[in-house]
Order: sequence, then C-alpha cells, then structure tokens
Amino acid sequence: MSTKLICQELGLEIVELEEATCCGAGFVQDVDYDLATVLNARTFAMAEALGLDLMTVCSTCQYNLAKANFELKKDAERLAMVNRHLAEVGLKYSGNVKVKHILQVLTEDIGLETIARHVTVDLGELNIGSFYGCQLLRPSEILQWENADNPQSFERVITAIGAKPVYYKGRSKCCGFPITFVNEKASMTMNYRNMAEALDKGADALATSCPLCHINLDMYQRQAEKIGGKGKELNLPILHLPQIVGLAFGIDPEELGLKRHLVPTQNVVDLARKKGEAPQAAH
Amino acid sequence: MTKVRVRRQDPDKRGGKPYLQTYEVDTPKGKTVLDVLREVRSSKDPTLGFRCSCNSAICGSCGMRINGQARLACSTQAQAMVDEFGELLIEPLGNMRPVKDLVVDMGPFWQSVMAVKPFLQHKGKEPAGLYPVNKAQMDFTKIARDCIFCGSCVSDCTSLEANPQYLGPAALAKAFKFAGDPRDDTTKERLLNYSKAHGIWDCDTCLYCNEVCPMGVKPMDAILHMREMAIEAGLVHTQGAKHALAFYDTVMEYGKVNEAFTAVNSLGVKMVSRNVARIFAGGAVTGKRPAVLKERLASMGQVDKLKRLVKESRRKHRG
Repeated sequence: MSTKLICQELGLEIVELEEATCCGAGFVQDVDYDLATVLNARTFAMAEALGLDLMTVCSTCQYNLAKANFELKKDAERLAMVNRHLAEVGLKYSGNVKVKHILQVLTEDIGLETIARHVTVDLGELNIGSFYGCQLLRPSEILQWENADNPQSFERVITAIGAKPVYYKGRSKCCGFPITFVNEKASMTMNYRNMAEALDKGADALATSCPLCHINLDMYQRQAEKIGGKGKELNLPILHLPQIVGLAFGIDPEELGLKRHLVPTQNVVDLARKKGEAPQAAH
Repeated sequence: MTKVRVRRQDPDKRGGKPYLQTYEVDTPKGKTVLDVLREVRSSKDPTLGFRCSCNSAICGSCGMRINGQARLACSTQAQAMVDEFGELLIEPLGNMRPVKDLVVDMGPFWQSVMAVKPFLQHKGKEPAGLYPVNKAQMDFTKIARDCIFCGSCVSDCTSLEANPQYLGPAALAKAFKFAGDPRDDTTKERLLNYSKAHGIWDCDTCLYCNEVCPMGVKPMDAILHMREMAIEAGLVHTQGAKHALAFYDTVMEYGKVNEAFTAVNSLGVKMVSRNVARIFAGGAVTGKRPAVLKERLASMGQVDKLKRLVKESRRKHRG
C-alpha cells in the first residue's frame, strides 16, 4: 500500500497485472525451472500486450523475472520454446519488456530531484541503513543496473529524502530468509549480524527493498536476537523502501502501514517532523 | 602515490592479531594489484606474505579480498579500484583462517572439495574406445567446468559465513560437474549425499559466488540444477525439498503465494504451531500477517495448461 501511495504522489500510474502468477521466488524454479520460465514469460506477455514495462517491489521478484527475461532475450531457441507453449493459451512474448525494481524506477525514471521536490517532512535526524537484498544487485550480468560491489542507489534516495544514509557491510548481504526453514540457526545468525552491524554504525532504522528481507528482519527479529545474538536485543525498526519515502512525503504513517510491524516503528515516526517545526524531545 | 592498506597477520607478531599496514605505491594505468604487492615485497617490505604464480588469471593462487570483494590480484587494476572506492584495501580471503598476511589456510576448502567425490565414478565395463557424449549433455555442466580453485566464491559466501559446516559453492560446483555428467553412474547417490544437511539446500541463494567468480563459473546455478535433479530423482524428504515443493504446490493451486499453507506443508503442523505460529500471532496483533486464504487467479486454467504442456514436452524430449 505504501508503494501505491508514493507512486500516486509522484504521478506514476501503476497498472496492476492481477492475473500474473508468482515469480516462483526460486522455489518453483527448484522444482521445475522450465515451467517457472514459461509462467514468467506469460507475465511478460501480459505486460507487453499493454505496451508496459514491469515494476517490481521485491528483490526476489526482480531477480527471478529479470533472469527469465535475460535468458529469453539472449536465447532465441528458448524464447521459441516458451512461445510454442504460450501460443496454446493465446499469448506471445516478443522480448520487449523491461523489468525494473521500484528503486531503479525512483533513481532512473523519476529522478532524485523530483523525489526531493515532494519532500515535506524533515527526516534530518534519522540515520537510515539500506538493506538491498542479494537479488536486487547480483548477478550484475543479469540485473544490469547497479554496481554490485559498491551500490549507491538506495543511499542516494535516502539522501534525497533528507535522511542520513548509514553504510555497513551487511547492506548487500543475505538476510537469511531463503534458508529460514532449512537451517534456522544459520539464517538467524546472518540476520542478527547484519542488524547488529547496522546498529553499531549508528542506524536508527533499516529500509529494505525486499519484502522477504522484511519478513526475516522484522518478523523474525526476536528469533534473531535469541538464536543469532544469544539474547542480545536489537529493537531495530525495519521499513520498506516506499514507507520511508512516503514518510518524507508527509503521508500518514498509519496509511503507510507503519503500525503493522512487529518491531515498533514509532521512534522513526517521532524523529520525522513537518519542515519548519521545532525539534521534539528525543524519545 | 596511492596509499595501499593491507590487512596483515603474523602468528609471531603482535600476538597474532590482525592489523592494517599502509604502504605508498604508484598505481599508473595498467598496474595490477598483484604488481603493487610484488613491488611492496621487493622494494619496501620483504616480510609481506601473499600467494601468486601464473600472473595470467589461470592458476588461482592470488585470490584475495580487494576493497571488500574477493578478486584475483593479477586481474584487478589497482587504479580502477582507487577510482571506484577512493582507496586500495587488500585483505585475505574471507571464510578461511589467515595463516600469514594474505595467505589463508585452504585445508577446509580442499576437504569440502574432496567430500563431494570430485572424480568420475563409472560402473561396469569401461568403453573400449572413446566415450562419446553429445554436446548438449556436456553444455549442461559448462557453468561448473572452468573453476580454478581460487577460493573467491568461498570467501564471499554468506551461508558459509554463518555456517562453517556448509559444503560451500566451490565444492558444490565441482559436485555438479560430476552429477550432471552422463558418464557418471552414481548420480542419484551423489544427489542423496549432496542433499544432506550442509549441502545443496543450505545455499541461501545470495548470488555472491556467481558474482565474484573470476572465471564465469556459476556455482549457485549449479546448486539449483542439483536441487531440481534431486527432486526429480524423488529425493523429497529433506526440509529444503519439502519447502520448495510446498511453495510450488501453492503457486500451482492459487497462482500466487499462500504463506500460511506453504509453511504448514513445508514444516508440518507441529513445527508451525511451535515456531512460526508464534510469529504469525505477533503479526495478528499489529496487523502484519501472512495471507491465509487467497482466491485462485481467474486465469488458473492457463497456468494448469502450461504446466501440462511443459511436462509433456519434457517427456517427449527425453523420449
């Protein structure tokens, strides 16, 4: 919902592909890679028929869709295989759709200056660590937009909305989500280390570009403290990228879903204030 | 002059604790990080320890962390690093114990490689002449064949960082080379072994291995191929396979993810009630909760048909 609100604010019209299937998240690919590619091509065909590119709000969707698209654009034989199947359900994909994550759309298509113009709330007191999620950056051969070993887009957006970016190594590492069910200890160890490092570097909160990272960092934060941190508390609020942008745009925190997190986000909301207002006492 | 910081460690100095040492070196265009290190060793500090040999990115000796990422020193331009990061920071590979300065203990690395049985296991009579294999079959394992054992993927693997028992990307890429080789007669046995704890299902799919490999090897893709092969071979009782299948089933039923069903099908009711339910219950209080019931996509007929077509065409293709 925060995505819709900030896009509305920025004048970006979103057409939701209501009949699109899940990207597969890597798991459908684990079971049947070809089928996952065909289903993702079906989604591309739907967008292409409307003359639209695709925007994702999830690093995992971004990777799985971009990978399928990359392989189809590169491999005419594979595209032909996919189209043989799609023809049976009355669809065709010609390879003309671009898949972009919202972070990419914000930095490349909307532009940082435009974003800054919509800011009505002062986030100057907030130190925000970016959490990119693995699959938004790597492999650069497929995602083709950021410098995978030294990304800056997220930090640029954080700066454009008036907050201070916090740099820490874990910002482009794994949150642990994909193996939470397989090896909880390893998953929670990764989870805890990334968050503890961000806190250590002064982050008041993290913003993430991936809802799966959000699940692990927010919903599993207590588990991470228990298993990864041996009981040491973190209490680090985790925001979705559109939520922190929306907060800077002056959108009601409740409408942005900020009260629906497991780790309370109130300190983030408290530190944000209308431009020109006197600073509040620290909470 | 460029300031070059090197993370050093010597068991006989400073109690074996790591420290950063700065050297000043010219880094004109064309000079590699290995050239820089050689210059330091020959003209400034003969005690600096690092491995190198071929100078041509083929021996795999000079893997090290350069500005936070595993790279080969001999194929990394020093000035390009300075331009990008504002400095040149050289550290030993990650996930391996430093022995001295940039030299790491590769012992556990080789143990993992050996654990996957990195050799062809042919049962029965050897063919009299050549063993003909068609190109498509060999192309399948191409993504794993160019490994030079430099350790870059292992250095930056985030699963290994959290779980040192994990076999790791280099060993599993090697494993795929043989699991996917038509001349090998132990594919199922291999997949069974690789499916055990700390094997293929412990990869967190962070993609660092694919990204940092200087040879274009794709260990993660190799791991994912083996997951698909394991499921196809009926090795579905591991937690990883169960979760993938539960996720797949949900998408095939609804077209979208149904988190609660996926969790129950993957972990079993007992585990979910013990573990995940508590988290979901917390979400119920704040309103962050997984979708419990979602309607099927109106166009699920298309998805069903595509699923059937892909399966049929695979069957036909395999004869």
